[in-house]
Amino acid sequence: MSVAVLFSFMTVLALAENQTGTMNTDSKVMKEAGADAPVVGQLQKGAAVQIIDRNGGWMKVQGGGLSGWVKSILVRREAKPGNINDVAAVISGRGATGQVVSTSGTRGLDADTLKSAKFNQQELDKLEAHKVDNKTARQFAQTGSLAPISLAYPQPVESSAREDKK
Amino acid sequence: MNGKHFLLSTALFCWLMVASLAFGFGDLLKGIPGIPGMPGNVPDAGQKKDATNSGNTKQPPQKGINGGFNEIVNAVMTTQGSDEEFAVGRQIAGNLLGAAPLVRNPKLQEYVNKVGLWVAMQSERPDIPWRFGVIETDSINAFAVPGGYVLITKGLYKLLQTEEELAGVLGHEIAHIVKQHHWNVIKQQKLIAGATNIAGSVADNAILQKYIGQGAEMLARGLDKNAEYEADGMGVVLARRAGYDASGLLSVLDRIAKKPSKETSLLYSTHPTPEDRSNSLSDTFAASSTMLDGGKEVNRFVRLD
Repeated sequence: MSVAVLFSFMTVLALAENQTGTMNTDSKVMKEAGADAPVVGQLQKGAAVQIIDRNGGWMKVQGGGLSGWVKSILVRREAKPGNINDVAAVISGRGATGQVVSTSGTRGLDADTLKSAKFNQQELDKLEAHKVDNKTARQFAQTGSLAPISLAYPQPVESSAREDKK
Repeated sequence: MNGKHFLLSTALFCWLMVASLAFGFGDLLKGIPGIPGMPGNVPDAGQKKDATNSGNTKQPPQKGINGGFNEIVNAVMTTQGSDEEFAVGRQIAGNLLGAAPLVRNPKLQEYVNKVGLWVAMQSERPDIPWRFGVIETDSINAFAVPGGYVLITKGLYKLLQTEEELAGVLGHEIAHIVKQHHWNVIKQQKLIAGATNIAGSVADNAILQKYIGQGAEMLARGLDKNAEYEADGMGVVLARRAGYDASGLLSVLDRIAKKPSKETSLLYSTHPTPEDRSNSLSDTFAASSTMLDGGKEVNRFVRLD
């Protein structure tokens, strides 16, 4: 049983490296990961792509006879039936029994652990001791050359990602 | 009594119930010692509409009480509610830390507090007592506790590779607290459970515990999926507001999707799948992704081995 699970897990992981996706909007395709890289072509909204690689906010894709980099937020990841999420369910024990299977080694932070947790004042004091003040945070941002900007939150959109099963 | 009158009186009754509960909470929580830096008057972020953010990220929203009935009601509800929120949040945070203590690494904890506070300062609740920590468990998860506590697991932290990824993850949790997602659930449950009997002079952990159920179990229940998608979108914006490359959260989600394991079981049971979350972010930002451009990658990530 465990060998079978492990095997299917590895198979699916191998597939995950070859994930497919769909362009969510028209996009330039760059030679390298970066907005300043040379443009090698254009992919239209709806174009099917193979996801080859990732680098920060960029994704290397192949499709429409092109190979190059697009912003990863512009690509919808294909959710195939029998994908890695189901494997996660099997490994976590949810798939079989709805219960988290206890495993050897360190105890995970599961629902039961949270439920039986006891208040710990000492740890709360330690958390308090690690706090920083606004001035420190501002200096920290400056050191990292982080410049704050104004930016509105997005309008909620109807996403087909939200139509999935409970 | 016709239907209209019935509705009206029902609404009035409900409001009176809510108002009296709010006051009751206030009395209850007055005597609780050790609520860290609890401000007397907290900006009413709960009232704020996320889509109509003014863009002014430097000042907490100031809501004047200028005589309008609704404004007075809102002000009363919010300030009283905030006191409850801090006390109940503190109790939940203490319970969560009882389940998984802080990682003994002061440099790491301070680093996470700096990144976290800087991102939280760009939110609509910049002045609440934000506390950040990494907790000792291999499970891959992060928790937003009402009142400003954000705790990320060691398992998730070890998956991170950059500061902008950390900023994105913390931004998601900060968004939950700004929108009071968990707090609203707790308040609803209290109304249903008939919470009037807790009003009184005795204020201790046992009574607070009665409110939140056993231990930190409310953190294991999960929120509505739309609340998670909303927190993702807001988290991306908060990280970008703070100056970071906005792609951090998306990178983390893609990495989690590729690493299913027993360490992600609670995360999967309380959140939509990482793929659905990535796709929701794509749907949200694809048409306007250039507004996220220009953030920085900062090369000083504190690794945890």
